[in-house]
Amino acid sequence: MNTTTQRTFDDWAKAVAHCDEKKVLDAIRPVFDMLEQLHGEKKTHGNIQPKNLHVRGDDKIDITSFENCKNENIDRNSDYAPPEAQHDPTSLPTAAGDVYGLAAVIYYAICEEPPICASRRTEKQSEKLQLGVKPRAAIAEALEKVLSLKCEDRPTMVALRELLEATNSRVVDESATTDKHASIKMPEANIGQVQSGPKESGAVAQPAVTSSCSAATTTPTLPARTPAPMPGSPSFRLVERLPVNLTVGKSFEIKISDLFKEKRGSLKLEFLNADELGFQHEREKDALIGKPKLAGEQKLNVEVTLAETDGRRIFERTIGVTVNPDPDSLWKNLPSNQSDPYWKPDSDHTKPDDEFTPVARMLAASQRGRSHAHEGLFRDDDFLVRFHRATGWHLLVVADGAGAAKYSRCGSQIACKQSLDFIEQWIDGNQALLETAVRSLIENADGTMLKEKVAYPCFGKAAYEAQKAIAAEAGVHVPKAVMKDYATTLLLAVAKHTQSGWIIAAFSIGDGGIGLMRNDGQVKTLCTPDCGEFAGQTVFLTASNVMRTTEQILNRIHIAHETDLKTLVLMTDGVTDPKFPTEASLSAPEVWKEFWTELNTTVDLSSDNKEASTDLLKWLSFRSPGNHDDRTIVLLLPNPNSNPENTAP
Amino acid sequence: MRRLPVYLLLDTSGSMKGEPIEAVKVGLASLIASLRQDPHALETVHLCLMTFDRDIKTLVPLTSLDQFVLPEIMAPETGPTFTGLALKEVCTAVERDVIKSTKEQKGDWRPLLFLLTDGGASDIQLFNEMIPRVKQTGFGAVVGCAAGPKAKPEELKKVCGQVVALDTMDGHSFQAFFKWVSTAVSSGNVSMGAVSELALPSPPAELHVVC
Repeated sequence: MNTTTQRTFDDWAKAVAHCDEKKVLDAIRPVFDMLEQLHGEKKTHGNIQPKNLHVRGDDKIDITSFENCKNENIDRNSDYAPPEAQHDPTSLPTAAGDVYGLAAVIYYAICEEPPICASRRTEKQSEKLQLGVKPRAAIAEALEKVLSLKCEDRPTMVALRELLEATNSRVVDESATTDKHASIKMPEANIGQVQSGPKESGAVAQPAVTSSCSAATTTPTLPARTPAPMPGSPSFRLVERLPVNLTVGKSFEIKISDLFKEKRGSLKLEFLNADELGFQHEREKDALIGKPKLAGEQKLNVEVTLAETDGRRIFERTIGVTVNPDPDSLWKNLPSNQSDPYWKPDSDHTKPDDEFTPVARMLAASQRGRSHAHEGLFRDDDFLVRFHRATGWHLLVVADGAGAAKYSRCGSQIACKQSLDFIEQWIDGNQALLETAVRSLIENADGTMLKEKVAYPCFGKAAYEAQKAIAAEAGVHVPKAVMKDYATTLLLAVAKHTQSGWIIAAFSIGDGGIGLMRNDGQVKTLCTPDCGEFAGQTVFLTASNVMRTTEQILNRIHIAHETDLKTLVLMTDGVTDPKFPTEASLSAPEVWKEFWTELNTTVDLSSDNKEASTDLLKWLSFRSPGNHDDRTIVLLLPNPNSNPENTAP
Repeated sequence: MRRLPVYLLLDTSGSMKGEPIEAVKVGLASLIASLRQDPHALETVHLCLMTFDRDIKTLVPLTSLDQFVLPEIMAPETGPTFTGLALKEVCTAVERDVIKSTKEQKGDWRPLLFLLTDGGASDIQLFNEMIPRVKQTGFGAVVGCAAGPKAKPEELKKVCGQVVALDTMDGHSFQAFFKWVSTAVSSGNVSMGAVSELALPSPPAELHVVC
């Protein structure tokens, strides 16, 4: 069964054709052909129901799928099963039963509900068919005959077709001679008058079509029908609900014509409660505009005035309106639980005392995300910056604790501290090697030694030490915890200013980003983000498979030698997701330019501004729909006046 | 923008007709209303509503929560329950609709699937064939709800990471289920991706977790 390219008749009727007699008959026509042929061969279908019919893109029923639904076992409880099948469980499908089924399907399509089940009609023979929407007289008359409870009274398939085709041609003729826009549907105005309009006078019953069937006593009688509208008289049908949902405080504009399903003739709309909802009728644009005031399911009360030759008729209608709340108004900022053993402040930033080195400034800020604040959860991100004064190395690290890991706020904290503790120690014990490697990079433009003999053992071991420290913490935690509960990323960089410019080595496990920007606008990415195929999927320091081989570790290391460094930036994904949404954008100069312009114009990053990290923290609360994670950023800002000779070893 | 796609797959076979389907409709309406009170959900959640009986219908294709309109849901007369075919359709829909990350585009969050049924699958062979496919589709969570006495939780367990059971199919039970779905979806917003399967909030007393 192909459910994607075709619609079931049921869906099609609901969407397209309910009440539209001509469309229904046009769609059904191929079924006549097929059934006539079957019946001619003394065969039957036996299982005619809307759900067994599929409508093609061209609004015609697909015969092949229908034919495949042939069934010797009739669904006797169906609303579409003929009475004889319902009464006698042993009866076999008959051609007359198919006629009944098809008529019931047509009835369903036109009236939006199946005819009253044949079994119920025999139990209460006086019960009439209740029509949701009244079909035109000719059709109603025809269906009435065909849905006769006595199978011998029913026309043959050929006769049914003739009967219906006759009514169809009459429909077309009538509308063609009156008004080409006149719909064969019953306009709402005419139905509506039953509720609120004045009584229509002069109802003229349509002449019944002739039929070979005589009315049986059990034939259901249709209630009196409302006549079709007078030619040229105004009529309308409004939508049940606005075509789009709205949001509190957000401007919208909907064309008045989009509020009509059908509109004919001259009529005027008044929105009675527009003010209350924050709506206006903009007459120049002929549109409904405004900024909704109230969230929730609202009703727009509409007064429709029809101007007619014999006066005016007024209808009151309501249109459903769904108004979403403004997301910004819903955010809560609940403090995290300070008595938790792993509590840490909901935000953090560097203090001037730790920021300035002889050649640069290190600024950092970390802000709990809105989604965590909304639930009173902790900030899972962390950062740390240090300056190794003896050698002039700047050490910078950020870590992003996994939201789903219950102790990740502690994991990120341990990862930052432990990795920098180790790197400091390593530098202390390997100064000569470090200098040789740096010289090799500067003099031979070859970073291999720095990468393989310095960064590899130093960063690899630092990450390993961080893993070990987390494992130890998990081991002593009560109740018992595992490494995974402390899942965190780790992005770190070390940087040193020399006479020949900045030497930088970076290492990362997980998402987020490390990148640098030069004064000429060029950028360089110093990480390969570990992203999965879906958002938020990444790897963590705490996973056992991230540093299994030498190659895996080396791939995580990036080396740079920069003579014109503007800034080195480390960010968790709370910042990269909104600012560098794709992996490609992290190496795109224009994206960096935009990022830097925004940052630099919002935050005074000059060394005179002692509050720069506080300002940076404030900036971190920028709005970005859908991005409400914890945000952490670390900046290394070289001091333009620094004298490299003073600090170089 | 990264979306959190949520697929709701509802059994509308004949046995759901009447009170159960009415209760489901009320539950769905309250699910939508309560998600709309969650600012993060309003910005990220996209819903797809599919029903299954002898036919599989996509009543609402993947649509943002703010633009979602609850459709009419009907349960036909008696007939088979094509759960297997429904799973096939939902996997196809996910493969077609959900954006995966590449260098140039940011992927959606992992989709969530909630499957509600009150009976066993009629197409057992296809159902069994779908078990590995559902696993491959990359759902962040596949949650089954076995409603009423005729549901088969052990069958659902084969495709669902978590199955909850409802003793009765009345308004109260369905309300509790959908309220829990809302909490689960909201938590998906905060914590997706870190672990292989989304850790769901613990369900209320009306829902029994099937182990």
